Order: sequence, then structure tokens, then C-alpha cells
Amino acid sequence: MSVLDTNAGGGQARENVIVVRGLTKVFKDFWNRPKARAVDSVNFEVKRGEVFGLLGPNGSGKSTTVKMLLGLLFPTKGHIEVFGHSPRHVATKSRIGYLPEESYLYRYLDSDETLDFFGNLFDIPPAERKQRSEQLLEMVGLSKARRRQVGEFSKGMQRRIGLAQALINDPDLVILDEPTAGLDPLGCREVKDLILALARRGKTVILSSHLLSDVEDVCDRVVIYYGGKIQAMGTLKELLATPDAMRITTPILPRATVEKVLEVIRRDVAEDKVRIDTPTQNLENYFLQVVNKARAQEADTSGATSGNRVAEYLRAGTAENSPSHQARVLDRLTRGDEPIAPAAPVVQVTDVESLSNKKLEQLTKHEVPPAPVPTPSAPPEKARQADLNKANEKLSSLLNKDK
Amino acid sequence: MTDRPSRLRKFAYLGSIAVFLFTVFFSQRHLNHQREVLGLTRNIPLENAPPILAFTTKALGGFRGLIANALWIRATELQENGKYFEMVQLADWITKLEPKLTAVWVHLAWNMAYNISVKFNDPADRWLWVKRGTELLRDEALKYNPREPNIYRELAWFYQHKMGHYLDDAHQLYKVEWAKEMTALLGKGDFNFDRLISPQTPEEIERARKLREQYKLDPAFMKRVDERYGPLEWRLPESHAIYWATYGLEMTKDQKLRQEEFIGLRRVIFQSLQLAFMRGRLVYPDKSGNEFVYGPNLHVIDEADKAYLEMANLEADKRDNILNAHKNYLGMVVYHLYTHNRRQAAQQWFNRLKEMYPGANTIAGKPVENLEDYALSRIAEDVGETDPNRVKTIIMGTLENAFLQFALGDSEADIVAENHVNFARRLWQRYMTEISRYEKNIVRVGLPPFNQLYEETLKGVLSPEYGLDAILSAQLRTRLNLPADYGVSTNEPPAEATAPSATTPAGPATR
Amino acid sequence: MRRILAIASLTLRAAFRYRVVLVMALLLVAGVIVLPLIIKDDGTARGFTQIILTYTLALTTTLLGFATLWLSCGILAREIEEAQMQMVVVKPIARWQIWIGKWLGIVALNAMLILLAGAAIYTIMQVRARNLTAKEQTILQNEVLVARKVAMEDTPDYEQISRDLIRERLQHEAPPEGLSIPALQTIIREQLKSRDQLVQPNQRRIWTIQVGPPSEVRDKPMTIRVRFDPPVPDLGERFMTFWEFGDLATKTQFETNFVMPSEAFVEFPIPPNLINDKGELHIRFDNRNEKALLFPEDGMQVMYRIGGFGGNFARGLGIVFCWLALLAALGLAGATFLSFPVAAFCTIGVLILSMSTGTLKQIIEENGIVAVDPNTGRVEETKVVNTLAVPVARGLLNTFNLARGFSPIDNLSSGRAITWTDLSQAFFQICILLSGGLAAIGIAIFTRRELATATK
Repeated sequence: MSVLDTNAGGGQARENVIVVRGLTKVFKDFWNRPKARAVDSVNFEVKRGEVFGLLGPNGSGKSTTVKMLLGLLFPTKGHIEVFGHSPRHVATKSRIGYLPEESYLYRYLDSDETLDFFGNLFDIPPAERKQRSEQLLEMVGLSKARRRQVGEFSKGMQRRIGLAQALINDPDLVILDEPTAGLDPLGCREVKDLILALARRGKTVILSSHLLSDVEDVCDRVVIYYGGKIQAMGTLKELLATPDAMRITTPILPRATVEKVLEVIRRDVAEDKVRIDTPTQNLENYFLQVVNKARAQEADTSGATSGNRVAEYLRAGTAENSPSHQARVLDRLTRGDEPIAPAAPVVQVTDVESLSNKKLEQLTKHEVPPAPVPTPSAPPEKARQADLNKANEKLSSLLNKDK
Repeated sequence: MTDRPSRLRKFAYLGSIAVFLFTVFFSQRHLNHQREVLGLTRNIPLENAPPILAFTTKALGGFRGLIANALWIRATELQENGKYFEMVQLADWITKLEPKLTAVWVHLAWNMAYNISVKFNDPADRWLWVKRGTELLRDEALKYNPREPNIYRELAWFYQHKMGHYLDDAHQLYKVEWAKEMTALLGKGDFNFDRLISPQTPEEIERARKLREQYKLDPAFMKRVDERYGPLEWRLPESHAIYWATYGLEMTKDQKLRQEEFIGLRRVIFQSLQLAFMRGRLVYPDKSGNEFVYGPNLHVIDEADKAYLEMANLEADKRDNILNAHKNYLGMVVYHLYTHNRRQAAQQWFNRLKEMYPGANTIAGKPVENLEDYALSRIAEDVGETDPNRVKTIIMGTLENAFLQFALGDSEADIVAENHVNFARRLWQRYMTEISRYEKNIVRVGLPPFNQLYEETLKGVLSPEYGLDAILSAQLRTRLNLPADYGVSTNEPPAEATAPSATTPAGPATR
Repeated sequence: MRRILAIASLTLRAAFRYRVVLVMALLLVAGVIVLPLIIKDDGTARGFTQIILTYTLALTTTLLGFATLWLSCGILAREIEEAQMQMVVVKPIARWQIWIGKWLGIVALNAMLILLAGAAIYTIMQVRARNLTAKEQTILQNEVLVARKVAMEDTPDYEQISRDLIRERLQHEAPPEGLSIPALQTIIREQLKSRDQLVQPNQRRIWTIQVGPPSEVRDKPMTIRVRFDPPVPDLGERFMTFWEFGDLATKTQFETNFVMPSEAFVEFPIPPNLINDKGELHIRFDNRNEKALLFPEDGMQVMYRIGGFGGNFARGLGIVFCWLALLAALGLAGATFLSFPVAAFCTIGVLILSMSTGTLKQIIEENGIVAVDPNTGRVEETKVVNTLAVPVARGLLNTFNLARGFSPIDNLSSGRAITWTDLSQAFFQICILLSGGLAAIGIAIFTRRELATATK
């Protein structure tokens, strides 16, 4: 379990929010015969303030893990601790917010009633409940749909109200199962921003997803599931760093200059290993740009409008609590974190071996070459190139399977 | 798993399916045949079923029997506990669930008319139940089973036995109530069948409609019955017994296989004729219509006589019984003709009796040749009752008849009246002699002195509650030399009134 | 508490949003209005009132009963199946709170509906009664629309006495040949009963019935409800009866005699103030008939008015309400481990089983599942199964009787009082003992159950 030991997040000795040891879940059929081993000897822990990603194809066991963390399923073997208690400890649950994979909300309640109901379950006093509901609905952009029954909502709106109910108790641990499923890119962005905002406030977030971009954008640390087992685990930086390739990004250069640069490069690297292209913009970023421009002109949209200010009570205690910071979260966050790439040619120096991983590239929508994935079974130093190749292939094929 | 075993298995399945279907094909035919032969399934289409009934019987299928059973159990349970208020509804449901089961109709109707009615002491309550039972057969059962001889027989039996006979303590009220209904429908005394068959005035049209729709009587058929057996007094129940029995015979006559069931119908006819002879004539319904006096219907003597002999021929195995009954009947004919002052006719029938049944004129071991002696002893023997109430009722009833005859004020009626008084006295003597064999009986079941009964009855007849016509009361007083205020000064009801008044089903008796 | 109430009000809201309440309310009111129009009554005002009361109340109970079962099965089972329950259990609410909340929600719903139906029935009764003649009204006020207390003589525990007798006798003698002990006991029990209940010709039977404290019954006219059976059933038979009421030691006496039918309950009034200082009513009956007459255990009852119809009606509805609460618990308990249709089917099965206890009674009375040889008519030896069958049957029957031992509809339609004691007893037995038991089972299963599946 060397991986576990080396992946200690930011390296600080922060408290464990979740500890999972030897977790195994075997589903049984009617006759109590084992039917499927959904989760198999899984170990991990999540520290306070971490955004922790569970990555894997459908049916790989991540949802089952989440349900066991929540006490909805009981482990066949192994041990789970959430805030130092069993997942079935009732009081602990007041610190948890959960957004399930699908909308399991009461279809006959409207948005207000939904939040009120769940607020009641947290024993939140009425005034507080009302205030939080308003802020949450504003945040997820459903303030105009307060009186509409959840059953009539579109999938995206249901996600939004689901997210709102998950945050009604200002949870210390937020567990999000496929949070962006069914959301438009705008919504996806907002959710991701929200996750980051929560993380900044020291909340712990567990994110289960098969959408790699979600995970990549927000997670500090991920585990990658396949067949109920953890195949890889670590910080994104560790997992995605490509030590044997580099990229230079510049404004458009005159042809002569480019030739000159290439000339220099060719001295060290063989010609066929150097590539020049103009980076296409990340579609997500582009889309957001367009929408933001439109919003600036106050163009109205139907359906879920986006208020997208993080609910005030959720911001309490963060550094950005001052009014000046309460600008539109989206604007702020997009501006701050994700520099929009200017139109520039990119010189890509690519490892030949990794060219075969184009599919993965497309999936992750990044020009970053695929990461060498350390697997627990493969020692990192020995026969590295060959193993890397294998691992990459495997990963790319398995991730590809479901998309 | 490889392909081979699974394919093999498929063939095995198919094979066994084929074998089973093949065997079922034969056994099914056999079973169906057996079912038909043994009458195990009742799939005779319902006649005259309303849509709702057709629907329930079809929709519930086999379950309806189950539901009917449950309802039946509930009805029995409630009856056990003296709760009758659900009975009509439950009977309705049960019969609607099993409309083709004759026994169900008959049992439920019988239960109401006979078992439930006697649990009540108030005659009005009893009448209600007798009526319910009658209506269940007449209005419902016959609607769905118009060709079931048993239902006709049962219905006719209710008229003949329950209402017509005197076995029920409240039989008087039944007759009165029935007569009231019939009087409202047919008018008093003679009425014209043809005016009901083809009614002219709106009033007649309405009456004819009521006759057909409410009482299910066909005036044309009534006329036929009347011509054949009558003239009958249609305000009395036994005439309706004759009607329904005859009607039943008519409706079922093509069912050759059921000859045996027809005997029941015929028996009702001859027994009812006997009843009609004995008291099938309304002599005097009083003003209120609550009491009336009937006399024998001497028109039907011949018809009844014929009917007896016909029955004796039809029922070979019961021939002796019937002839014995016929012998009694002839005795009654003699008695009635005698009390009605038709000595000549009485003598004729007395002769016929002696002729047909030698030794029939033997009373208590001695042959009686004298007509008068024979007539009285005849009836006394018949009323060899030990129930004080019943004997008292008969005595007082006879006296009542006597007074009403007196009230009519003509000499022929006087003779009838005197004969009645004599008869009542002899009855009293006979009963008291009978019971005095055991001393304790006199206290327990002894009757008041005859004079007391005589006076009580007379006061009762003259009391304002009785409602005797003023002229008739005056005539009665004249005949018996009574003071003008006799019987008026006291408001006491005629019979004893020690019991508290009735309140609920069967509160204490008033009679 | 806020959490429980949140679940309860959510349950209520679901019933409203799914139109259950509306449909049930319409059905109930329509039933109460339509029933009197289509019912075939016996033609008397009293009979009509009784049948209407019985059928409208039965309709209400049945409709609400099935709706409750259906709803309670559905509301929990469906939420589990459709995973909405997952959203609830991940909140800081204990499973027992969820279960109780659901139960309270359904109970509240029933309370509303039963109030509505009760109001409708009561109104109809009052309106109908107003249109009757004065005489009919009096009968109704005295016999149906009234709360009459029923007093009876205490019945000895024949079961126990016969058992003691046998034990005593077996110490001295050998058991009779060809008779099993249970059969012997049955014979002795019946002998004891007939000794007490049979009145031979020219014999006198005396009852001493504890009616009530003299102050409570002062000046109250009473009704005697009596029944006897002749040894051989003969439905048409009527008997002369001679009655005396009142303690011989006191001056107040009342005598009456009349002819009475057998095998049917007869009611007749007696004047007030016949009871002695101890609150006892002495009744003497002389059998001057030629046949022995048997008074069954409940064959002699004294009834007197203790209250009006309104309160009685409300208490009667209270008992019905307790039943519905029990059904809700039954449905919820079933739904904790079964899927909706299965739970509905099973709970209705339990309901039907509990209503048809004849077989259980038979097993107990015959001391086992008795097989009679059809050829010889001899009862076969009791089997090993019976050692188990009898206690099981007895246990089941006793359990069912905790709920079945009340007959509010019957009492209401026959004008018998449902006292506060009855109501609180019903509440204790039905809502606390039985519902509590079911709740314990339901909650235990619910708490131990995984509420998610591999896919949902």
C-alpha cells in the first residue's frame, strides 16, 4: 500500500474525515448466493478540506462505495469511519450533504417545500430554514421555480434542486454522486465552482463521477475504480504529470521565428518528435465565454436561470466574505482560476509512445499527454516505459468503454 | 451450458405439453359430458335479469358462491342474536348472487315469513315479515325463475298456510291487512273482472296497473280461476293460494319431467278450497276494517269435494290419508251447512258421508245418527287442543261471530248465532273436562268461567274501539235485551291486559 | 420531534397531492348519502336506522381500512423502491423516527376522514330522525339513538372449574374408558353449564345482577333483554313466562307475565328503582311450561340509559379509529421488508385471517386439529402436531381478540353504550399493545435493512 502512504494530499497532517479499510461489498441474490463483488478490499481516506474524486466507469463500484459511506448499504467486510463514527450513526449525518446519482426527490413537492422538508430533518429552526432555502434557490437558479413541483422539472433543474437540498445543512462533508449529470455546461461550471468554493471554506467534498473533466477540474486527489478495485490513487498532479514532454505556448510568431526555434530544438530532438499546432480553445471555456457575454447584456433565459451567487451562509467564514467579493461567482471564478488561453500556436513536444493515447486526450479535452499511471502492482522505477504504455492503454480503453 | 441439453429439454417440454393437451382433450369432453348429466354446473341463462345482475353473476364467476356463503353466514349469525334489520338486504344480495338456486329463494322467504315473524309479539311487526317473505317470492324469485314449480308452491303455501290458516297467533291481522289491501284494489264484494281486464276509466286503469305491477296478478287468469273454482272471495288469502298454484301449474305444464313437483301445487289447491269452504266468505268487515267475520263459502263445497277425490287418485301412495282428510272435510261440510241452517243440504252430505265412509258417524265409540249431535261433536273433536290461549281464542272468536250474527238482525242470522253460542259453550265444557283430569292444570291452564268470556267478548264487540256500526250495535242490544250503555261505560279492552305493552321485536303479547 | 412531524406532514401532503384524500372523502360522503337510498330495510323506522347506521359505519370502516392498508404499504414500500427513502435516511433522522412519522401521518389522515364520515353519518341520522313521527322518534331515542349500559350476571369460569374437577376426580378414580381427558373436560364443562343455565319445568331461576351504584340508576327505567331456548329447537314455539323483579327484602317489586318466543332476544321495559342498596337487581323467573328452558350465558341482560347518542357515536368512531391505526401499523410493518404489491397482498391476507377465527377457535375447543374417522365416527388420537397447534392457535386467537374484542358498530346500532373505559381499553390494546408490537417489528426490520440496491 505504498501509494496510500505517499499520497498524503498537501502533506499537512490534517484530520481524517473518512477512513475506509478493507471495504468489500458482495451483493447476494434471493437465495443468499453471492452474485456480484461490487467493491473489493478498498482502502482510502479523505482528509478535511479535500476535494476527493472517485473516478471510474459505470458499475465500477464507486456508487456502491458512496452508498456505504452514507449507510445506505452495509459493507460485507471492512470498516468505514465517517467523522470518527460508523456511517449509521445518526447524529453524524447532520454534517453530511448528499446529492445522489439521480433525482430521488419527492415529485409532488415544490422546490420550497422540498428544501423546507429536508431542512426540518436537520432540525433547522423555521426562520433559518426559510432564509437558507431562499439563498439556495437563488444560488442554483431556481428562485423562479419555487412553486413548481419537482416532478415537472427538467433533468437539469432536478440536479439543481438536488444540489440545493444537499447543502441545506451547511455540511462539513459533501458527497456528490455524478453532480454534473444532466446539467448544461453552464450548470456544470457552476457546480464545479461551487465545489471549489466549498473546498476553500475547508469543507470536504467527495465527488463520484465518470466525467473526467469534472474530476480533473476540481479534485485534489482521486481514486480510479475498475471492477470494484482501486486501480490508481493519488493527487492529480502526481497522476497527470508527464515528465518526458513539454509545451511552449506563445502568441502567434512569424514563420521565420518559428523556423528558428525549431532549428534549435532539432538539435536535441529528432524531427518526428516535434509538433506545432494552434491550440483550439477548450469548448467548455469557450461556451462559458459566450454565455457570459450574453448575460452581460441581460439576455433572459428560460427554465433555470442562474443566480449563481453561492448562498451567503455557505460563504460564511471564507476569505471572500466581503461585499466586494460577492460579485458573480461564475465571473469571478472563471476569471481567477482558468486563464482563457489566447489564440496561440503551441509547440508540443510529445513522447512517441504516448501518441497512441489520442482517445484519452480527446476525452479529457486537454493537450496534456496522458499521465503515466502508477499502479500498485507495478513498481514505479523498473521497466517504466513498457509498463507505462500498458497502463495507459488499459486506462484509456476502460475509460472509453462507457463514454 | 452447452446447446444440446437445453435443446433436448425444450423438446421434452414440448413433448409433454403435447401429451397433456392430448389427454386433456379427451378427459375434458368426458368431464363436460358428466357435468351436464349430473347437473353440476348451472349455466342456464338467467331470464329477465337486469344488466346489473347479469354483470355481477358473470363478473364474479365462481366467487359469487363464496360471497353468497359469507352473506348467508352473516344472516344466520345475526338471526341467532335476534337482529333482523339486515335480513331483507342480505336476502336481496344472496338471491341476486344465486338467482337460479330455487332452494335459496325458498329458504330465505320461508325464514322471513315463518321464523323471523314469530319472534315478534306485535302482530303488525309479524305481518311485515310475512309480507317480506311473500314479496321475495312473488316479486323477485318468480321474475328470474318463472318456470319453477317449487317457488309457486311455496308462494301459494304462504297464502294458504301462513295467512289463511289460523296457526299463527297473528293470523287475524294477516287476513285483515290482506283484505284491506285487496279491498283497496278490488272493491268490496263482487267485482267485475272484465273491467280490470280491459279497464275504461282512469281509476280502473290505475287499479289494473297496480294489480299487475304490484301484486303480479293477471285479471284474466283470475277470472279463469274464479270461474273454475269459485266464485271465490278474492279478499281472502286462500283464493290467492289457489290462484298461484293454478298459475304455477299453467306456467310449468310443459315440463313433463317435473310431474312430481306438480302434486305439491295441486295439494295447495285442494287444501285451499277446503279452507275456502270453511270460512271463505267475508260476512261482515267492520267499519275500521280491523276485524271481520267470515263464514263458510258454501259455493265451493262441490269443487273442494271434487278436488279431494282428484288428489286421492293422483297420489296413490297417500290415498288413504287424503280420503281420511276427505272424510273430515265431509264432516265439516255437514257442520257448516247445519249451523247455516241448511238442514236439507246438511242431511244430504251427512248421507254421503255415511255412504262413502261407513262408521264415520261414530263419535267416541257410539254411532251418531242425529244430524245436530253429529255436527257439534265433529267440531269439538277437531279442536281437541290443550293450549289454553288457543282454545280461549277460538271460544271468544266463536262468540264474537255469534254477536255479529245477532247484530245483523234477521232471523236466519239469529239461528246461526245461537248455534255459535251453543258451540262455544260446548267447547268450553269439553276443554275444562279434558284438563280437569289433573288438578294443578286448572290453575295453570284453566279458562275463566264461560259467562265471563261471554261478557268480555260482548263488551268488546260493543266497545267504541271495536267500531261496530251504530245501527248494528243497536240491533245487537235489542236482540240481547241489553241496556243502551252496556259495554260503553267501561274503556277496558276486551282481553286481559296485564302484560306491559310491546316495544321491541316480540315485546310481551297483548293477546 | 420536528423530524417526526416533518415526515408525518410529508405523508399527509403526499396523500393530498395524490388526491387520495379527495377521492376517499368523496367516496365516503357519497356512500353515506347513497346507501340509505338503495338499502332494503325491514320497513320500520327502527330497522331502517339500525341498518343505515350499521352499513354506513361498515362502509366507512371497510373503505378506510383498505385505503389505510394500501396507503401504508404504498407510502413506505414505494419510497424505498423509488429510492426517495435514501434521501431521508442520509439525514440525521433515526429510522424509528421515519417509521413513526409515517404512521402518524396516516393516522392523522384517518382522523380527518373518519371525522368527515362521522359528521356525515351523524347529520343523516339526525335529519332522518327529525322526519319521523313522534312515536317512532321515541322508539329511536329509547332503543337505537341512545347509549345503554348492559349489565349481566358474572359467568363462572367453566373452563377452570371443569379442569379442577377433573383433576380432583382423577386422584380418586381411573379415567373413564374410551374418553380422552379433553373430551371428558368438554363433557363436564357442558354439564356444569347446563346445571346453571337450564330451568326445569316448575322450577325457578334467580338472577342477581350487579347493575350499578344506586345513585347512578335512580329513577331510570330499565329494559330487560332476555332469551331462552327449548331443549329441541322449534322456531315457532312460544312459552308463557312469569317474571318478578326486585329484592324480596325490599318493598319495591314488579311482576309481569306474557307469552314469549324462544330462540330470540326479547326486550321489555321494567319500572325504575327496583334495585337494592347494593345496586343489585334480583330477577326471578318461573318456568310453568312443560319443557325445560335454557338461558344462554348472555340470555339475561339489564339495560339502562347512561347517555345520549352523540357521545356514544364519537366513542364508537374512536374505536374504529384505533383499528385504522392498527391497520396503518400493519401496512407499514409489511412494507418495511416487502415490495408494495407483496406487502399489500400479505397484509390483506393477515387481515382476512384475523377476521376468520373460526378455525382457530375450533382447534382450541377440540384440543387440536381433530380428525374424525368418517366410517366409525370415532375421533382419532390427538397427534404430536396438536401439542403445538393448540398453543399457537390460542396465542393467535388471543392476539387477534385484543383487536376484535370490540364491536362498536354493533353496539351503536343496538343502542348499547361504548363507555370511556371501553374506548381507553381499545386504545391500550389496539394502539399501544398491538400497534406497538407491529411498530417494534417494523422498526427493527427497517433499521436493519439496506435501503439502496446495487443499481438504485
